[in-house]
Amino acid sequence: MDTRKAEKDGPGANEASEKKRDSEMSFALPSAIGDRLKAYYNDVASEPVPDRFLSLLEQLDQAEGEKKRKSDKEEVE
Amino acid sequence: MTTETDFRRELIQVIPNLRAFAASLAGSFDRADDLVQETLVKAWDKQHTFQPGTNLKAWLFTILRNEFYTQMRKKGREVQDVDGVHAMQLAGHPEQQGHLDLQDFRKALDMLPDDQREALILIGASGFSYEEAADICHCAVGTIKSRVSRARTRIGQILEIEGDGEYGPDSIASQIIGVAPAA
Repeated sequence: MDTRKAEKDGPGANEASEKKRDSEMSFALPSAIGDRLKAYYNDVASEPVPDRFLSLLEQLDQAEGEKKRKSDKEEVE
Repeated sequence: MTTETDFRRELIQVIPNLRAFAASLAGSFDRADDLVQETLVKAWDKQHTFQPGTNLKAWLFTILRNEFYTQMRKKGREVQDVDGVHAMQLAGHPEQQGHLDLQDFRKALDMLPDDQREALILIGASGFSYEEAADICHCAVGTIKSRVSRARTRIGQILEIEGDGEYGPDSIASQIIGVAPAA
């Protein structure tokens, strides 16, 4: 997915993009570490959201909706 | 009434990231998901304090991290990793069986002090800026930078020491040389 900049720009990339790349990369991790870090992280982050969280949020949402309807009703009365 | 609120939909989108961050903090998947659950409930209760248009992901990470350290303080050292228990528990995750490369990396990551590991994850994997990471960790931007830098150096050393060449200085050095020939 991550197209390497070097591949995209080729070895003869002009000076401006070279400079830009330097400043970008100074914030990036060496990819030997960075790639493994992302693999480690995505191993969990790529899993589908467990049902327990979906139903939890559904419950919270419903409880909130009921609370709201109640207080709206009280205001009218 | 089954309409999903925007807030709920946005929360759901961040859950995968929250789980990954929680796992890196907590060291076991059960504990990580408990942490995520606490975070979602807390976030729901105080959603009125969230300013729409600001970074929901960073807001949720901050809640999760605070929750984690609050629990750590309450439970004392129990939550802390003892002799690689952290790594063993994570390695037990079924999705990760057979990923030797990943397990080695996980062990290396595990040898880092908590603050360095956290900074490395936030910057290198969660995709936060140094400024956002500093906000999440309640520290200065410079502190995050130096933690990431120390973590990176340390991981490089660990993998090199334990390395089978694959992680060794060559692959890392070639990246650096390839990127910054003038330096």
